[in-house]
Amino acid sequence: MGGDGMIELRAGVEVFGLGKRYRRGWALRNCSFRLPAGRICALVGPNGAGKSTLLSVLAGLLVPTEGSVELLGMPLGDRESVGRVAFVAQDKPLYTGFTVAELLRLGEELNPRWDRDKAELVVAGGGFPRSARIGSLSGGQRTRVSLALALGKRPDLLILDEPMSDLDPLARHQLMGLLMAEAAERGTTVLMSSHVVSELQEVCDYLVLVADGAVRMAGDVEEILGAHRLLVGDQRDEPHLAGHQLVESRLAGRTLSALVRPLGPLRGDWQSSTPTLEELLLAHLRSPQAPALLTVDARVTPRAVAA
Amino acid sequence: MTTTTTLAAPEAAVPAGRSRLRPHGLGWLMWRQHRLLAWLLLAAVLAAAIGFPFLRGAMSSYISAHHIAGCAEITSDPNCQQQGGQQAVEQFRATYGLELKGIGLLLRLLPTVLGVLVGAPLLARELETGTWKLVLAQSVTARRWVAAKLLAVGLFCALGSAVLMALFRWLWEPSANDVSGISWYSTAFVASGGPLLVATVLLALAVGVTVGALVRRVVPAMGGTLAVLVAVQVALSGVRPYLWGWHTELISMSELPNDTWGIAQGYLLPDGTRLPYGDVCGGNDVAGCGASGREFTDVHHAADYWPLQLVESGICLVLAAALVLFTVRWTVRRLG
Repeated sequence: MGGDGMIELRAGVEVFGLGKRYRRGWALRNCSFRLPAGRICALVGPNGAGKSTLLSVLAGLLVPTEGSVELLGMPLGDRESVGRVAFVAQDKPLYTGFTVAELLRLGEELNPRWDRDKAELVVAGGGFPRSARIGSLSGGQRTRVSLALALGKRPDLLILDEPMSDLDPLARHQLMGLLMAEAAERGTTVLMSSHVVSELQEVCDYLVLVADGAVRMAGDVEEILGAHRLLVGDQRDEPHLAGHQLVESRLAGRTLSALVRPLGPLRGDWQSSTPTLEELLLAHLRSPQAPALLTVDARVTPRAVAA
Repeated sequence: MTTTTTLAAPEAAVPAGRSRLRPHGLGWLMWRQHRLLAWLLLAAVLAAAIGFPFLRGAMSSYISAHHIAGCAEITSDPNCQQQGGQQAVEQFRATYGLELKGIGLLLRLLPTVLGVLVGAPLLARELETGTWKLVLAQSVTARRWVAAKLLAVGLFCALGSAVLMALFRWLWEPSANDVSGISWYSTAFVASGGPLLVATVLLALAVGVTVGALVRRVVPAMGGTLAVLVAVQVALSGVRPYLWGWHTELISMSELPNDTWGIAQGYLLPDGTRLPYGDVCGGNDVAGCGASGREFTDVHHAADYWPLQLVESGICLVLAAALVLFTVRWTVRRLG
């Protein structure tokens, strides 16, 4: 589906009023966002925010309590979408009694669009023989095998839950490179959750922030960053912030630093700069009361919310 | 396995050198995961297929050499009154008879063993280790995957137990009912020498899979399965005599021939009242019982064997099918 010029208009993921309730309560509530096709999207949020729940629902492994999902324009569970969406779960489950070769064979047997060369390429850099038992591999090596299975599937949508958490920096760099090359080559939509914010800034051009089971922010990274200003100034200028959306303000002595979403020209004597992704995320994570921000192409039309 | 044909995609050409007979798709995964079970069952079948003919030959020649065909230990049959016949039967029971009984009791354990060791972990292990997520992340739906798993172990276990059952039945025949004292209704034969064995195996697997799907952890699932299966076996043994119409005969149970199954006895009073044996007549009033009533026994004749087998097998299969249906629905709903 790569290279037809329509990618930006089509949706990779659309989530309508999604909710998932466990016995202990709602893990996810009223989640709606849109991820255009062909984007590399970071799903971020504090621990327990509902990231894994959201990704499991998208992967078809968890049945939502309410709301609906469309992947690649197809309703969740559609027979065709099952073959076009790949998922790597956070715990990277693999059959420990299988050899690496047998696990790749599993991918080949169960996926009609299997790309053997791609899977072999991902595994090849791992420094373990194909005859090695999965049970004898380290966590990072298992992650590599999991990614090989996911990429070998030739997915149009790749969902990764904490894919890089147990990789050493070198492997992380190499696998990220493979992932990005694949995405660029095939126009794959990628949605991955991660805690490693610095990594995300390099590779992701789209962002979904989840906190307390709700979407706090979603959209193109540049657009979101551009909608925020990091202001540093004197405490006496604080009244000038009224009329703008204040995400977070912190006082050090008489110096006030604030992250705001300007709703018009800023008045007062401020040192103003665009925040980094890390600054933006940290500020939002510390301030859950900040109003939700979804850029235009991250919003879904409410037609399907009732479904 | 026909269910895998739609998975064979047009673009995924079958690599050269791989036989058409080899399993593909889900069939390959099922074979890879359950080949140990298949090999073990095959080994058991081979051991029986090789060992049983020798044992049967030895039993047959013993019986013909001592002219005790059709003779029980205690009998009024004139053909069995020859010199030394009774000792020969006793001797047979103490040697071959014990082996036969041992094999029969082992086979009787087969459903429980398969239910606990194969059925219970089938889904519980995947759910406990999370590997179900790996499989469902491939181009496979939950329904097809669960169905393939059930089909694979059901097929292996049904085939294996069917062959073992047939071989055991063949081994039992020369000394059936009388010489060995192992009758068609005996504990060592009734549930291990007929189709009931296969049906019980399938029921035990279904129980194990269901408990495993509900409990989602291997060891508790095995324990739960064992408990349920013991209860099921006890219940089935309890209702077994009443699954087909029986006859009441005015005869003492101890006088029944070996191929007639006495299931209850007591005294029939002149007014038609039935007094159970242990109730009144087992107490102090023995003389009174004997004087006023006649001994009766409820019996199944050998002709009731097939109806009893088929009814009980049917019950097991219906229960198994209901559990399988429930488990497939439950897991598909839970696993998305």
